[in-house]
Amino acid sequence: MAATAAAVIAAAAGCGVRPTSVLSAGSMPVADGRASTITVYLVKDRALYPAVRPGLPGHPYLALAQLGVPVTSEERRAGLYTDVRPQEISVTQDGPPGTLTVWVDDPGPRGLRPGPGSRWPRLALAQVACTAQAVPGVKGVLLEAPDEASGHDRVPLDCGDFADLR
Amino acid sequence: MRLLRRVTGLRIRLVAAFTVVALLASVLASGISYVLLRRVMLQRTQDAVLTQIRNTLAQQIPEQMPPDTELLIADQVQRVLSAPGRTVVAVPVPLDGSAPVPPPGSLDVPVSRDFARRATHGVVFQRIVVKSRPGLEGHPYLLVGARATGYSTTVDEPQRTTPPMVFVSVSLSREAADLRSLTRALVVADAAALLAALLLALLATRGVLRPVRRLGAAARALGDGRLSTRVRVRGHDELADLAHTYNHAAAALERTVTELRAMEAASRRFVADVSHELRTPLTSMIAMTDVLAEEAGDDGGAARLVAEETRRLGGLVEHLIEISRFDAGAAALVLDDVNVAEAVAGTLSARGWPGRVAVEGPADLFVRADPRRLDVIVANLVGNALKHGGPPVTLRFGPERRDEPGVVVTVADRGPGIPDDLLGVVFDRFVKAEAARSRSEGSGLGLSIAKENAVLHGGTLEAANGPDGGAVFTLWLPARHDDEDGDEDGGDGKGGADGSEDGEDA
Repeated sequence: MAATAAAVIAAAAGCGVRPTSVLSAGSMPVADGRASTITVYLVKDRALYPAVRPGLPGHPYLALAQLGVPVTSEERRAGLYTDVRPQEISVTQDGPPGTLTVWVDDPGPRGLRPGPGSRWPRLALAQVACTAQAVPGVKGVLLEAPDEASGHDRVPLDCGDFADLR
Repeated sequence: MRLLRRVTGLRIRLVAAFTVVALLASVLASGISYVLLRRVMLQRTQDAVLTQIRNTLAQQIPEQMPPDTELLIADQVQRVLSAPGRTVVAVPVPLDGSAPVPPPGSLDVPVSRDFARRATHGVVFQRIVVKSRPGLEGHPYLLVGARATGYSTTVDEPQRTTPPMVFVSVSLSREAADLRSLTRALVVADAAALLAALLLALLATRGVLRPVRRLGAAARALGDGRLSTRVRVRGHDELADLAHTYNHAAAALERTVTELRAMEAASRRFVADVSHELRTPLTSMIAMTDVLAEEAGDDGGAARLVAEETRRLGGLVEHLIEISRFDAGAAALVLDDVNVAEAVAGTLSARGWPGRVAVEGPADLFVRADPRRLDVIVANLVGNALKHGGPPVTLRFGPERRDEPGVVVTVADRGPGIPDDLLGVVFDRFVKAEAARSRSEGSGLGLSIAKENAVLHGGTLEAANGPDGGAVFTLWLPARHDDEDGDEDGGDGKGGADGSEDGEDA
């Protein structure tokens, strides 16, 4: 009887999910994300220069977002720089097929028009246009930024317009 | 006592043993199946989660990361891994080798520093049961920590190209609920098994114990004297064998006892018959020898001896007839209200003893008794004291209550007393104090007859030695007799009248 009672109590105490210590479940997974490389147009000697960077799976328009980050030290050593100021750049595809809308959040005091004092010189606009059109299937770009006056500052861009900078 | 016997009885013990074994077996079986099922269930869940995390990390993290894309990867990983009951957090890996701990509250369970440290070297998991969070006490969670390896970073800007590591907490409440329902099912099954075992045990023990009970009842009946009791033999098992043996023993016993009874009855009948046959010629012989002794005058010493011995022989035969009546169960009481003082005085004067015995007792004491038998008892006791004890002989009587009101009569003498080895058998037949005195004056039956008469009244007769020496015989008779209606049979009046003369024993 005592043995039975002990067994019952032990069974009752061992019911449910029991906590464990920290257990190993094998080695670390090996990074194996497959993505084709992307082409980001940087600037070298006041001209556009296509730099190649690794891509990310599931991010086809990563190249445009990469325009908003500083160049890598390796690229800097190679004399490359970017005219696009560091900022968050996002991409949507809500226009006609083949046209991307690129959103930037730093239009500067003069908006997206190139000129003295503008934060978007021609080279920067060329970087955006050509980087976008380097993505397979993209034919045109609509650059948009918030504008205090009109709400949206919108500039259509085409890499072909900047052939003199290549 | 009866309850104790019930509790420790064979049936209870058998049923308890049977039930305990069954319960132990079923609890063991369900415990093992529970543990196995739980292991399989949790293993499956863990494997699924671990595999998904491993695959997600492998697929979402490229060999080489574009700079500053850690947040993108973290978002992507969180999106892929998110599911109901899960929280996913991706944290950057510090490059100084320390363990990254996710901010508190970002997961359902806190991540210990040890867990985080080990997670930087491999995939680790831990099951945690929440204890301290209100509303979630007892909720089990699976915590997994992992990071990818095999990627390459740039030498001088590794922080920009290092993928984050992920921590995932998975609620195991569904598994816990499944286990609870499994427990319930097992408890119900065990209870059913217990009940079934109990029923089966009761049935089995009944089958086993019924023959044992029957044997016990039969043995009791045999002990009570019903020698014809037999048990039915059924089957061919050990119990049937036992019943068979019992029947044999009972039959043998019955046969032997019947034979013995027949032999005893025959011998008693023989004694009674012989006594009756002797009585008639002896009566004539007594009369004749008395006449012969008278006619012989002073010279008839031999004739007087013959007459005396013939009278003694007659007394012995009367005693034998009296004893035979007791043995045959033919002795009957003729009850009357007897004044004890008068009865004692009558007995003593009839035998010429008044001056030799000191009598003490109240004059108005009555007892319900057969006067003739009371006379026999008193005469035997007093005669015995006068012949074998030393003077003075005292007779005391008075009321004495034992279980009921009664009268006690004590006869004491100052003689040598009764030898210790004879105290227990002094009322047996033909027991005499001096074994060498083979030819005694008494018949050796007087005290036996006195005792039988006392018992016939529902009283007692005891022999003892007094503190001052001498034998003390104590007669106790109930004042009121149980069966007052009594027997109206006065048939043994004659035997007692003569037998009273010589009570001598011890």
